[in-house]
Amino acid sequence: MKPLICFYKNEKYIYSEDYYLKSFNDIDSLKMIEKEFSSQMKVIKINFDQSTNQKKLITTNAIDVFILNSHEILNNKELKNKLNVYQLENDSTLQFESLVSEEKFISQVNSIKEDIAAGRFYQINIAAPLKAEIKSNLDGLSLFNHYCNKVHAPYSAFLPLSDNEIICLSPELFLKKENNTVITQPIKGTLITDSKMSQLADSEKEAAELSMIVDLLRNDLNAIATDSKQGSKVNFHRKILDVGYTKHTYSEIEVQSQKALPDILQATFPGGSISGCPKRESLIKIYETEEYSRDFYTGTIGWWQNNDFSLNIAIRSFIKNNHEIYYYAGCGIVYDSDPKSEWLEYLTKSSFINIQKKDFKVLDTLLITKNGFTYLEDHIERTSKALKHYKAENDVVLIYKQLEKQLLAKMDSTKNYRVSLEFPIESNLTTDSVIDRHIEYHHENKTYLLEKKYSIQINDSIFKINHRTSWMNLFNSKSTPADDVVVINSNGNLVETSMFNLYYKLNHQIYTPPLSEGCINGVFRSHHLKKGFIEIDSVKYKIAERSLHESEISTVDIYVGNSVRGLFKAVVL
Amino acid sequence: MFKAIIIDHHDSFTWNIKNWLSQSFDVQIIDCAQINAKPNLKADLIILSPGPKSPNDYPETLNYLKNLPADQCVLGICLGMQMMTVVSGGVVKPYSPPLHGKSSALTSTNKKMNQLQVARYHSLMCSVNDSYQTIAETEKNIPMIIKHKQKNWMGYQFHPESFLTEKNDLYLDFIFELLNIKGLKQ
Repeated sequence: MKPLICFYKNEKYIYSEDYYLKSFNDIDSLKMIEKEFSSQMKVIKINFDQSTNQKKLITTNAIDVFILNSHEILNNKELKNKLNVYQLENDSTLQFESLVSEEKFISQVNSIKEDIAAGRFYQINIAAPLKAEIKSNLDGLSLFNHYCNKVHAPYSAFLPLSDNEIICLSPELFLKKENNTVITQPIKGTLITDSKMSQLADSEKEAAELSMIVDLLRNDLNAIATDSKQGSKVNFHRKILDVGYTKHTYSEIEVQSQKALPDILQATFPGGSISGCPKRESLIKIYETEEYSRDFYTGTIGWWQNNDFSLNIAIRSFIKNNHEIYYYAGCGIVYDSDPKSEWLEYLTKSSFINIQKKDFKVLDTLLITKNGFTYLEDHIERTSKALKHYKAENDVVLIYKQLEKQLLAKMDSTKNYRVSLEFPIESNLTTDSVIDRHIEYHHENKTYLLEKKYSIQINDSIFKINHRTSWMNLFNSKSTPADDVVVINSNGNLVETSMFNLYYKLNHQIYTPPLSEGCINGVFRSHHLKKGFIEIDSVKYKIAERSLHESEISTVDIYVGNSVRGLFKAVVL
Repeated sequence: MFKAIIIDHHDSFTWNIKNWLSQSFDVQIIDCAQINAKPNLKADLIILSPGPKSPNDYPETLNYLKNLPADQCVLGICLGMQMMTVVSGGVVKPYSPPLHGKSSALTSTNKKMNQLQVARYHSLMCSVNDSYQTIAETEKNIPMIIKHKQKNWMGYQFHPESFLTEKNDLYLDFIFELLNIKGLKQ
């Protein structure tokens, strides 16, 4: 069976491949579950809304209860190992778009603010869905694995429902009960991307948002207190929670209660932080205002065994079927809310969800002579670094060594060959497929004529990867006398050519532009930088990194070089 | 123990008020929609709870309050105090900007409460007439604690039960100081 995953406690997770699903329409049905399956571990999902007139996206049963026949409790590392087989394909993309426009969202915020001014409520949480089409085969567990590696989600879960899957990355605890202690940890207050920490920590508005919800949850917990004189207590107020893509503030409230889960939910569900205050009137407004049904979103997901349970607020969550995937985000609106900032908060909470995994390949081109690969150690080092950077794995040393052996056995030892490789390499290479062409080694006197080309494009990689094709477009646009193009970046500094790294002689020393200019970390370049000197026409020169501005071209001697062809004189036209 | 009834206007702080009162009262909560169905409510103290919207949205509670015997002890909190104001012919008007989940300092001639921080959740304010005495107020002379000069009624505009309010028990003591609670005849 498809794995079911749910947060447990002490940073551990429930993992099960042997379970069955029971579905219900109301919270009262949980009393039957309580009686019949008390001691069994259960993972439950309770939807935020009942039936409404809102537009529906993917719909699920009001209440889903997974009864686990067997399960394991895994720590973070053990879960990671289990999930390691679920990786996104290299061409996976997900581009989400909000189903609610900025204009509509802002008009909703303004309508809420008018109601607040009229005394209808103090605070409301409004939410909207974002949608992405699923173009290729996209597995839910791979997505869960991908996102779990990106964000801090202490209350995460993966639920394989019958027709769809829920990927929940919640940072928020709704309720947990151990023995007779019930605890809640409401989150309110969000740091909008790129703003200063003080805009969260010192904000009177953000403080008030959380304070209201603390009073609301004190109320909801007082409703289940065993001793009304004891009541609920605030354990801490306004701690900082870092979830990776933003920071929040949260508080903790506790009460002693002997009540069981169904009764506790009747008194406290849905959670205050995702409905509003006062809750009853807020819920009416949510159904009036929000265009789309929330379904499971802002409901709760968690585990339940005997009298203990732990339930999250099901936020930062996705639901998918085979064709589409939805994510929801929301914000708390108070009277001082600036509509535009609330829209930015909505985008901040959705900032990590797009996926653009290009089908990258790390390229390496090298020369093989009868003595084997030239600069082999440098090639191994660079390819290993590049693969590590892209989190891809390959036994690089073995691949080069085996290939070298095969090629040497097969090739004409009087000739030199150019070899092209694309990593990661999945299957066995045939020696024919990697040999490009023979290299004629009689270029010593050739001077490369370079045509200047300007590019404001920022290279995101110092490694040679296959979608770094823009230089080739520049190359194809050069005019007749030029052999190659020299790229000049937005600072007016020389970067490299389409085939070579650049070198230049200035005051009897050789320099090459630093990687920060946007050039590739070529093997020939790094080899000589590491050695600290380079030999040109039998003279040894010191070599170092230094930027070369366009205006300095006439004052230096230019060279181009790479590990296959070697070093040549060059002239900028 | 004294008996208190909270008339709940569908607020989300009612159980906090119950908890706050429980030190001195045996508390029952009644939904405001149910008060006509329960004509013989007897309690040492009746509390009109806070809640959404404005006093005129609750005609049943206003009517109930009008018809209470003059010696009945009544405490109105937030919306509850605004209801008292309306019933006594005062004015309840919008107050801008609203203060929700924020605290302010009281100013009062009563040294025990002067400068104490109290939690505020209101976008409407009371403009009371001379049937009331204002015991504490906050900036711009907004009444925070009022006491009816003839009737056994008092009102808190702030939230005495909130965790943002300093010395919550003080406002429980004031109920006994300011209202004439005799205890129900057995």
